[in-house]
Amino acid sequence: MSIRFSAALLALLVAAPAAADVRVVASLPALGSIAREVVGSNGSVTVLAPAEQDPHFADGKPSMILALNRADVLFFAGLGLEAGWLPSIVTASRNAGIQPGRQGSIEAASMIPLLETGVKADRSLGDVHPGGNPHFWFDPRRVRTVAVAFGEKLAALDAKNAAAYRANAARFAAELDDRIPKWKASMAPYEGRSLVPFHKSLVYLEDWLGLRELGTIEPLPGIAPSPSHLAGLILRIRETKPAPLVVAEPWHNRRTAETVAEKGGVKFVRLPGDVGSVPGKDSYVAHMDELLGRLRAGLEGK
Amino acid sequence: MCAASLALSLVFSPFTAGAEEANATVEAQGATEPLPRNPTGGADAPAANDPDERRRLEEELARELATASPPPDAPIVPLAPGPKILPDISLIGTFAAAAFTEGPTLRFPAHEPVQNGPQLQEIELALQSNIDPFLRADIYFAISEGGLEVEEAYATTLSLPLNLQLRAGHFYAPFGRFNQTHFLEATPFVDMPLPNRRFFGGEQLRGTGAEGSVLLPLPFFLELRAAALTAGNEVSFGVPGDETENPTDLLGVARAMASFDLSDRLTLNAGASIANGPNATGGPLVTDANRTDVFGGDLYLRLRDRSSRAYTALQSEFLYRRATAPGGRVEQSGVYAWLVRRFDANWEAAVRGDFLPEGREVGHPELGGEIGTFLEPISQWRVGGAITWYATEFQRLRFQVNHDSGIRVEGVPAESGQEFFLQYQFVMGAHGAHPF
Repeated sequence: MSIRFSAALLALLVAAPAAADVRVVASLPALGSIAREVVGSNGSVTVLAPAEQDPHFADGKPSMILALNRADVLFFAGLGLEAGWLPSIVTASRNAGIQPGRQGSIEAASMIPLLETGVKADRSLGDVHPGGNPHFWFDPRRVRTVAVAFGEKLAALDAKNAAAYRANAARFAAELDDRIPKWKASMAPYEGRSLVPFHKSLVYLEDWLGLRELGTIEPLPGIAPSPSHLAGLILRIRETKPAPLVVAEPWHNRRTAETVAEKGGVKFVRLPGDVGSVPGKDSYVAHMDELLGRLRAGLEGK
Repeated sequence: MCAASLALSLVFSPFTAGAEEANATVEAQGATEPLPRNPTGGADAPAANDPDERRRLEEELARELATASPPPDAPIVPLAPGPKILPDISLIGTFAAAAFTEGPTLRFPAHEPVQNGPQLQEIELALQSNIDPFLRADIYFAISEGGLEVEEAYATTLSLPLNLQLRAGHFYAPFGRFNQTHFLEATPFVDMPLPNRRFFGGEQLRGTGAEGSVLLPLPFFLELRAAALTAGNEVSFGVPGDETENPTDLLGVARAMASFDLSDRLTLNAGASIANGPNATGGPLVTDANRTDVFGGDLYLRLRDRSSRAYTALQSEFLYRRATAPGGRVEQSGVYAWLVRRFDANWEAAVRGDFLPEGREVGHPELGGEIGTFLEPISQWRVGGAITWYATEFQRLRFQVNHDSGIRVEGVPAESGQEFFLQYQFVMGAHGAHPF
């Protein structure tokens, strides 16, 4: 009787109106994919920036203010990655709970060990993020840490569903624990190989997979490449054996990247944008499968 | 201390209640309820997150501790020792070189280029920071050859209920789109559109006062703003702050703005604004009789390219001004439209057309005083184009050419002319937000 009653109550809770569910707004699709795993059926996840746009330069549209206004949680990368578009719409959202420092304002970068910290805060070094490199989601180990920590944050915020958040995060962590060695094994033949990315956005991927970075097409973050920089880069590409792979995300200038690859005599691979930019690859795991598949094909010389 | 008194009032509320007024019994019941059910007060107890329970407690605490507004429900994350608490500081320097074929007589000193040759348009110094968990402040100083002025300095609330937001200080009136922007930093041109220049002046419509705004709970974005500001604009309005005596000496401004995402990449913003305030045509003491209304409608359509910094945007505003002066009134409208194409991270091109059709006088308005010149129903139009090269995110070079019809006043032939501008701008310090 009591079990049946509890079950009925549980069913009622699960089917409770949307207003009772946690509403998470994620600044970027990768964070949205983590949040979806952790939130599960206990709420909704809205992603602000489009998967095919550079996360530095999304448009802070009024419709995003509306989404932020109704959010219980804002989940963002931090380290100034979204500085060009997020802070002003957070202020305009009039939502006390997600203002900086509040419990509903959750910064992913604060949960993980960072790379490239302690960079001198000087714009002669380009558009640097002095607090560290923010593009952490290319490393599934860090994503695992973020997912578990995000689960704890949600649990503290919404104690009613705490167990569910923790269980969802644990299940996602287990899935990653299963995948990470497989992904790593699939990339093992290429350990020590070099990449030439457009922007300094792959340092976490390189750190995880033991890849090297020969240089970036941008001479410094956010600085357009000059012919002399590219010429130097191409000469180094030609000298490097085994052949490096030139890679660029969809928002970077494809022609420049292809030219560098062509003149360097190496392959170019267009990386997917953020999670969901490739149709059907909507989960973090599917996205990483796609990303690593493209990298393998490029490194194989296919 | 605070936590201790809170705990005390919870534990002893049955006793203290007896010593209070008649309705205290009700309070006491509310206070005693949670104790038996939740004797240990453990964090995992179900009552800890019962929203009704929480609300009851909040109300009770507000009464007993006489706190007008509840403290934030979450502790503020303390900063790690080391970083100093400083506001975000940024500095934007804007310089221009100008050439006018007919002399710069069509322009008045402000932040537009006004003379042949090189000149400092503005150094903008911005300080922005949260004040505490409830307020943030934005301060902008404009330094030009005329000296230093406070361009804007206001505090904005962060946590009012009911989607409300208050702003107080010195700020651009919430009228239309252009008037609320720092145009040197945020528009694709070196100068201002004619209607805004004509109706609001080189310093745009701004003043000291307060604004309330609300985001309506609708499926689409609709925001309403209303502000009362000092009206010392001296172009359409005219009671400076230090001469304000009555509430009617202030400028009232209201605006509604809606936004629709027509697709993932295409957004339409539409707004309507109204401003009403005293003008100085009859002298400062008869402001109830001599008033100016300005009505405005604005549209902004923005199409973002896929996977690129590129976008195309169309912005247009219509303004209509009706100014009552002793003996009659003057009516005039104006419109501008611009189209901007950002090609990539480095290049942008824009064209703009400004049109002030001849206005009309109703009756025989006496357009006296300094403000009179600005109320005359002259006609003028201007077309221009600008091309901008963003060397990096932090500096740019802009070239602009205008053709100006000259000011047409009845009976006087207008002298048209060309204007050429070369503008250089750099940004130092904190990364500012890109306006949408």
